[in-house]
Amino acid sequence: MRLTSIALVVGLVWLAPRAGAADDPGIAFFETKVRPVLVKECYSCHSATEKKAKGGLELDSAAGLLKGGEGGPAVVAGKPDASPLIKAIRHADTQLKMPPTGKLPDAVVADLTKWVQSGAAMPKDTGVGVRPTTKIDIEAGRAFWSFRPLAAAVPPEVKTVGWARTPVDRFILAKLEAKKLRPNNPADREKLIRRAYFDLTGLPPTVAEIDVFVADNSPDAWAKLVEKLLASDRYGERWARHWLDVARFAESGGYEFDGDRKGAHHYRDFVIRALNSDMPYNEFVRLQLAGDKLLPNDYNAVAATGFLVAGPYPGQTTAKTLEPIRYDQLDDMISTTGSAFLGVTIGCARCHDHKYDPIPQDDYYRLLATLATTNSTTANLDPKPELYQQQKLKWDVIRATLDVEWQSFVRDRFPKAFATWWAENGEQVISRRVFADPRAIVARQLAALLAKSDGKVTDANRAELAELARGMEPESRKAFAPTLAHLAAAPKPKLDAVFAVGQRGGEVFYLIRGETGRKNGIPAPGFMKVLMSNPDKDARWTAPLADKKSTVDPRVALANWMTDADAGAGRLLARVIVNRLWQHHMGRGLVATPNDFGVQGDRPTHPELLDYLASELIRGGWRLKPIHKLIMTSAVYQQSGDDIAASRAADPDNKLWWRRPPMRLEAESVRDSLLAAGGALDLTMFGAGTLDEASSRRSVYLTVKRSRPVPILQLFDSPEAIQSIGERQVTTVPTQALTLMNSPFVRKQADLLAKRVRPVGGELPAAIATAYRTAFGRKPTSQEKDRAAAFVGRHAETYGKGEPATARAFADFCQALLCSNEFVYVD
Amino acid sequence: MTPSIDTGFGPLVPSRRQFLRTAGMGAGSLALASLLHSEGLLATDAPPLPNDPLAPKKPHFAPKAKAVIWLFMTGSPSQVDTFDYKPELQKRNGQPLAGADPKTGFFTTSGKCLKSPFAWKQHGQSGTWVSDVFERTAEFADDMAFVHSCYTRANNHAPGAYELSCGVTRPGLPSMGSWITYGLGSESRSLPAFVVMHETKPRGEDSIWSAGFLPKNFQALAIDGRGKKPLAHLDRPAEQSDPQQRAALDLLREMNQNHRTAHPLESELAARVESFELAYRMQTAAPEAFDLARETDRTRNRYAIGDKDADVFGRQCLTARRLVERGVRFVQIFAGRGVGGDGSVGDVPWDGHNNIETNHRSCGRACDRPIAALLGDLKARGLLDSTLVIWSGEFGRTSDSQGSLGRDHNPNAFTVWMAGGGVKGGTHYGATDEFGYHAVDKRTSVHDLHATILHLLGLDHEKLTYRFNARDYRLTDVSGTVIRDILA
Repeated sequence: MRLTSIALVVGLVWLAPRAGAADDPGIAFFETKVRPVLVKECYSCHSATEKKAKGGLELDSAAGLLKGGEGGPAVVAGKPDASPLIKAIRHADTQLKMPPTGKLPDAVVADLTKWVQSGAAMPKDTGVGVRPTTKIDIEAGRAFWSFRPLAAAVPPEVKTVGWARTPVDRFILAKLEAKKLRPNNPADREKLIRRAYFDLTGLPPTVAEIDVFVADNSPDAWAKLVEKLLASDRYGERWARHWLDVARFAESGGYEFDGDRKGAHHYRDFVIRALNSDMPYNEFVRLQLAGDKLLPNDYNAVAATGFLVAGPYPGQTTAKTLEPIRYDQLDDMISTTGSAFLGVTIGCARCHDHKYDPIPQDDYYRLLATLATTNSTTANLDPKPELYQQQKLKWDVIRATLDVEWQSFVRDRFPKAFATWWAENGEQVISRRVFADPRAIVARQLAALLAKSDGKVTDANRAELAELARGMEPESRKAFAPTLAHLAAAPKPKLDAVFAVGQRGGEVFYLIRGETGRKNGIPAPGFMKVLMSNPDKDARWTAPLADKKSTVDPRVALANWMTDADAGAGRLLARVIVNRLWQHHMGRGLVATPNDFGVQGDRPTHPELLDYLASELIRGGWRLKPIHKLIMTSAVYQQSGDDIAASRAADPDNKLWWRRPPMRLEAESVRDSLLAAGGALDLTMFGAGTLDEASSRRSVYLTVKRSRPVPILQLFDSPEAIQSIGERQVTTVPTQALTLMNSPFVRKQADLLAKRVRPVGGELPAAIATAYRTAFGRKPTSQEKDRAAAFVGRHAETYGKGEPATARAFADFCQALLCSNEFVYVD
Repeated sequence: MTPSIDTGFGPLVPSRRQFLRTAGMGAGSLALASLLHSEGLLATDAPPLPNDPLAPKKPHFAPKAKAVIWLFMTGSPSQVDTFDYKPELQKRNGQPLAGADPKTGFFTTSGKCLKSPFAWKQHGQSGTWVSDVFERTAEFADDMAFVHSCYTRANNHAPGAYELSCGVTRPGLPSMGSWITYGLGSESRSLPAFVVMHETKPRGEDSIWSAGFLPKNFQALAIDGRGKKPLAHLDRPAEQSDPQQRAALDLLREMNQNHRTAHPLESELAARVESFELAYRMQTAAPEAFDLARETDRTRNRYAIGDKDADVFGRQCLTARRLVERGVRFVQIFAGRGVGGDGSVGDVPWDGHNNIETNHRSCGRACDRPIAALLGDLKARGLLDSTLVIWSGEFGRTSDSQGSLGRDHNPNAFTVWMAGGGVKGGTHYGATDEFGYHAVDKRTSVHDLHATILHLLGLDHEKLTYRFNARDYRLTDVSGTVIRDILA
């Protein structure tokens, strides 16, 4: 073990020359001649990472060398003879011979002596990049299911005829058949369309949309519906919210004062646009990690990096806390990156090796190093550069025409007009005081020009003269006026503040036990070893570019590694995202812990299916919409949630997917459905949001302010935007009921619904039926209709007489619909 | 849903009587419970909800405390001006403070000793020194256990409040009130188990009482002490009478029952049906619990209600007592503004950077009488034995001056006291150096405090865990030792 760690350590020294090292010959000498010797020969006993450094001497930092051990400073700059370190390696003193195992080669002793003699230059308090040793067996770690390559999963053969519709179903059915269980039949059409709408758009279908679908008997009616919804702008709004949970997205800093982050909503808009345009998922990931580096002036790409900096950040710092805060900030970035993209809990390796997963502490700090210069900033970018380009193009054409006109004026009419004007006014303007009339300066310039050509306007000087004279000579002025106006109207790019990644200086250090006071050198940017199958390791992604001069930006390298499905993390990346899709369609992931694919997480119920979906994603160019369609057109998705006694007895937790359980609407859908029921939903997309929960816009556009969660969303379990959230909780608390019963917002939607389905004096039975269809997506049974009518009749009497009383009673009925379980649960 | 999480909430809900018996509660609590029950305040007749995560749970062992009232002195009072008397500091006013680190807190300090400007006296059998900032509270010195050797990692307000409340200096982890609600469930069916009262929100805001990754069932009800309504949407719509709302709810119940019948496998639907009944009852029960007009004038005077300086804090303390009587488990009160004119800021009133004397004098006027009244009232009603009262700030203050008259933040030393709820009154645990600058004897981390508080409630801080993102989280992270010396 010791041998391995030393080998690793030496390896790093060559991999990670200090920034600025090349500029300083003294430090360069230390890096090449001294540091490797210290690391190789001395650290096994004299290192801060050792539990007790021998003699109290730590040679792995500048501070340690200067402080020395029990015998005083180890080196005295400029005085080798007075430096215990040099004495010890010379083996001159019988009491102190180092290393104890044998004298170093003379050349090495000479190098170290020379180094001390010339001032013992060392990088400022950086220590040596000591990769923490580890007992984790990476090779063994690769055998864990999630770190393995994708299996070439072939859909199994099944016996049941007629149930399976897609390859997905065969994976499901084969396991059910093996247990002699059967799945459910398809849900009825009214349930199916409601399920599809909520699932893909987060909104209920309208009565008309239900009618069309229920009446469509074509064999591809369902597939057409799925495609239509995937093409809807509402799809991106719905699924963006899932991703925003994972990205712990918020528009303020949290902590004290919870400062607003101007332009933070552009990240939300990026996610919506990316999903709606079916941006390949690998590209989606790359832009979030390094969009600012990949496409520096591209609004969309820069907005994407809002992902990295969306975490909380203190509003007040003190001298003592600035550095720990920086490491917390980086920890937030890398932990979220790990959870969101890879389902790995990298953050657990901050202070020690990961306790369960094959993630050494070394991986943590090398990953952190990819973010060493990453900070948040407010960039100014044009969200619609094409609009500006178009305007500019048009403007340029007109400008060219005006220019031609001006040229012809200068050629044909200017000489005479100018000569006349000059003769009459020239002297007078020149004689003016400059303070009183700035034109005097120009007039003197004109005079100087004219003097060169005997006071004449010539072919050679007229352009220059016209340029000067067009501010005062009336005809020139008139001729130039259109150009002047056009110049003033030149289009400008409409810059918008975008909260995104910015650059900062500084380095990241290895920290012993995660403590900022215990630095242990600078790690080279690198990645999770267990997710690197290529022999050239990190270099595959960090290697210099083809021109050999520039290196890949570490964050771009991170994005490269992350999306590399052949030799990097790409396979796990694909597994994690297809699992998220399955989770939101089916109520639970194939891996029930979507943010943890590690040892502590759950194992996949259907590993072959997961790999099949991941492979399909990659094969299809990482596009998500085809995977949605693949899942939704399957029988497993379309089945009802009905009970099957035998299946339930054998599999009470539905791990084999013999039913598709009903799901409660998520917070945003609860609020959006209330607005939709009232017919008041405002579908304006994008842009800055609001904190006003009574706004009519979709909930995804409400501002996410950490200290002021929107009450109705918080009530229905919208998460706190602090850490990556892979799955929301579903809680039932009486304050939800209070809000539905008493809040003016819900009351208003009930009133609107009542007025919408029952115009003044409208027939009750028809209104009741439409209200049912609007709220639940189905017709009421005749019994339900009768009971509702009886209720409204009875209830109206308590409100008085006539139409107002009926309207009031009917609104109460509508509110009961909005409060009901059927409204917030989707079959 | 979170299938992998074992919340430990079995389907069987123990009856209240069973709970009280197994929890080792004395007859006094039972009597109180039955009294309140007869007033219809506990509503225990309601059928238990299926799979109710708030159903009372067995603690790990017999608890000493049933409820907690945490008086949070936002802004951080100075230990050397309240409960940690340092004669040496008094003597060396203006002299250099040995080992002073001017960058200990938020600003820069002088490095020169600043003596306490307050009058100090010994109180009670225990002879406890208390400054006259808390001269009324001091009457209960023999009921308090003082921990003088506390320290924090944070040296600023928001991180400090997170650390005290949630165990870490970052926002987003569950606060103690949520952990305890998760661990013990709720005694009250019509009131939340965890109630926070504040005036201006303390710096760090809602994250201080966050439920973090715990389900929202365990979140706090936060009440602005200046507002009239304890809870949003507690009043039925103006145009609806009680019978009308009841009729609408009956219709709803019928619709929900039909839906439930059609969905026999979804047990959570039943809880949702019941939640409307609970909400209906809360409309009556919650205003009753918060209605201080039901108290006698004498009681209200004791709490300094109506006093121009102490009115809000007095109301909050009296409300806390009423809530605890009604089964609320955990009440956290964040001290609001000082009296004013002393440079104190609303969200961190005790933050005496400029002038410790005027600041603490004013903040003391707002808190001292109400705290004394609360302790006396709880004692008189036999509630102090089962109610743990905690007094703390976010951290302490420097023994050297900031400017000439103020003190900066000091994470290295502060005093926390607890009273009732199973602590040994009149005890002093741990000590600071002779200037009160550093905790030196029996240094006590926030995790140690948390472990002790959980212990008094019958919870083992190492066993109260919740799995989130692959980790079994604890309030006390990976450390914490119960301070046995202060247990009765």
